[in-house]
Amino acid sequence: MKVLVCMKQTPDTEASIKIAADGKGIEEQNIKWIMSPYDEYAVEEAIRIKEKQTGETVVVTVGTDRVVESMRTALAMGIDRGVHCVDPAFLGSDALATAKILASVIKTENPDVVLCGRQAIDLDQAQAPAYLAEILGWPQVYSVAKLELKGNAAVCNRRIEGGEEIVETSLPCVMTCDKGLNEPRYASLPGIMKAKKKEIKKWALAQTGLAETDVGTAGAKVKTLGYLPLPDRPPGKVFKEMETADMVKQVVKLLREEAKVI
Amino acid sequence: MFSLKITEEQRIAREMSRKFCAKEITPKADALEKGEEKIFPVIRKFLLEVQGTGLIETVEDLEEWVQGREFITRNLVSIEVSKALPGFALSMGASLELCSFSILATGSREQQEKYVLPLVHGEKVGCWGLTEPEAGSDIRAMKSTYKKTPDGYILNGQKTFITNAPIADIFVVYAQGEKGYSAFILERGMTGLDTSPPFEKMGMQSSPTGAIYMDQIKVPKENLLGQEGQGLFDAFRVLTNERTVTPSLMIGIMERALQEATKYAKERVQFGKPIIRFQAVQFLLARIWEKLLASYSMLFTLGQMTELGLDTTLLASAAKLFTSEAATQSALDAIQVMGGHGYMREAGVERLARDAKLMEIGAGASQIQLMILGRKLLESDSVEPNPLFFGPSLFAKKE
Ligand SMILES: Cc1cc2nc3c(=O)[nH]c(=O)nc-3n(C[C@H](O)[C@H](O)[C@H](O)COP(=O)(O)OP(=O)(O)OC[C@H]3O[C@@H](n4cnc5c(N)ncnc54)[C@H](O)[C@@H]3O)c2cc1C
Repeated sequence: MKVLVCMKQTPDTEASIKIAADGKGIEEQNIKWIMSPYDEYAVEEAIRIKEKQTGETVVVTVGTDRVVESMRTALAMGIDRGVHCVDPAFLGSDALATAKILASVIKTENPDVVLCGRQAIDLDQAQAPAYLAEILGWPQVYSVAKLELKGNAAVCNRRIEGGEEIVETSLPCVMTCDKGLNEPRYASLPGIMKAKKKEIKKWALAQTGLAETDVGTAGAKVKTLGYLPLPDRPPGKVFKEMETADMVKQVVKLLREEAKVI
Repeated sequence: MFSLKITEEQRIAREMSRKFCAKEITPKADALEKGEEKIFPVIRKFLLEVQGTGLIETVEDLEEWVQGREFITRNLVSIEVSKALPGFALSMGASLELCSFSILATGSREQQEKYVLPLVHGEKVGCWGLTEPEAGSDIRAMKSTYKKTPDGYILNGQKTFITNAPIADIFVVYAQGEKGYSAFILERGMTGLDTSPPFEKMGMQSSPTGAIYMDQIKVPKENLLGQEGQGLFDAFRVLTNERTVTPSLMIGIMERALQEATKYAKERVQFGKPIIRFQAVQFLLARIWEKLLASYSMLFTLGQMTELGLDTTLLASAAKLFTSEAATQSALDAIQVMGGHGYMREAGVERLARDAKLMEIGAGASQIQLMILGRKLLESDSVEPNPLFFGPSLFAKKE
């Protein structure tokens, strides 16, 4: 069984995000970058599949040189090798353009299963996997919380509102991994040392078979107009030095007239 | 080339240690301190999942692992652990850096296989007993004795203030006999071996400390550790190792103190502005950082000297002395910055001061480190003050 994981590097969940001066992105310096947490479930699941049935695991990432550290973390956890899609032409890719790049790798690699995270925690779009399945003409199962591979098919439990849905799909297919699927392992120190020697192949525009106009800003169907910070929360009001009953009256009045919630 | 340039592997290792701590230690820190949760299962998890010791199956693997452990990575990992919970680092250290280390340093192959493998896997808990009720700084005054018999030794005596003693499976202890001071490996279950319940103490409460009682213990001769009569020299080697690993423990405390106090100083408003705007507060914080940076420098120098095979005993003493005093002072200063809130348990900073204080006492009190340095000045005709010019390590492997 060959399992390929599409992984994205995102800012740390605890990073404080500042909008860049041009309003077109975020300030990338001085923030900590991590493997998107849902992608960790995908990495873990790939390793477990290999541990159970032998085969090969590959991690694929689109991004600048900075993403190599997260790829190396996946290798340290136990993934066999990596493909790093990097080319100035890829900059500014939207989810569709990214999926095109990933699909070009997948067509060459021919995995049985492609695992992605349910969504990347930065833009929360959850689009690339669906595009990917569409481009490849493969089935797609979204938000998998339990996965069982049986020969040429997979039985997946999907998280849905109020319960779980059980789906069977043929392989190859694209699946997105959700919380609960597994408990991702830590990259151990020996694993980290081993990862140093594992291959990370570069994959540029020339290898993708795509045109410059398919990817990057040129290929993006979605144009981001700008980013806005969350508005500052107005300061709270404190009532002091009055009788409790009067304070309650004031609060109720504000809730009714200003906040209009009651 | 002399380089401290951080590698990708070191970055990832630090991140993993941090991740482990955030998930497995910090949420339980209070329960571990109160004794509601046991420390060793968490240590075992750390050893297997972060240190990856499960892969060590043979003595050869063990040797390779010891050789392959790189100084900066090891310390980056420990600093994170100490930041999360110094008591965790202390107990893990007693099992690995004291008990295992002593067996690795002078033990036979059989002893390493039998005792060190389960210790590094976290299957067994180790402790290292040198101190006695009447022999602390004055270790030669130890009263524990051993007597040779045809098939081994008989041990009698008592050890106290021993980290992990109440929960240990494997004990390295020192006693006095015909040929001087010697070390022995004891196992829980040996007739005549007993331990006290954990003592109540000022800090490091997640790390159990207690006494070891030895009453006519029959120790088989293969449990003699190292050469008979060499015990104190071997113990000195273990103490040097302990003093070499202490700075990371203290750096963890200082970093935590600095971060907590800085964060609070930016949030806390008095006289209409965040208190970090007051220079008096900034200077308290800057002093912590200064000590932290100096501690890092000492640590890096120790690392370089260790890798070059230079004699680290004096610098290890100085580093242990400096970083432990710096950590206590930094934690107290962090409390000062945080005012009444800092004094409250809830803020988690007063614990750092209680924890840090231990290392001004353990592994040889500050006064003893000063004596080691002072004696060197007294006894040598001309002292080389620059550590990079020190001679070769006293403990270089004799093949
Ligand atoms: C939490 C904890 C964990 C410990 N874990 C271990 C362990 O795992 N294994 C182990 O073997 N030991 C352990 N110890 C013991 C520790 O190493 C000793 O406490 C330490 O060596 C000091 O000995 P003492 O307590 O007997 O103090 P003493 O030797 O009685 O010293 C008391 C005071 O007198 C000073 N003093 C003593 N002699 C001189 C001198 N010649 N000149 C100037 N001042 C002097 C000391 O500096 C100190 O301030 C632990 C202690 C604690 C508190």
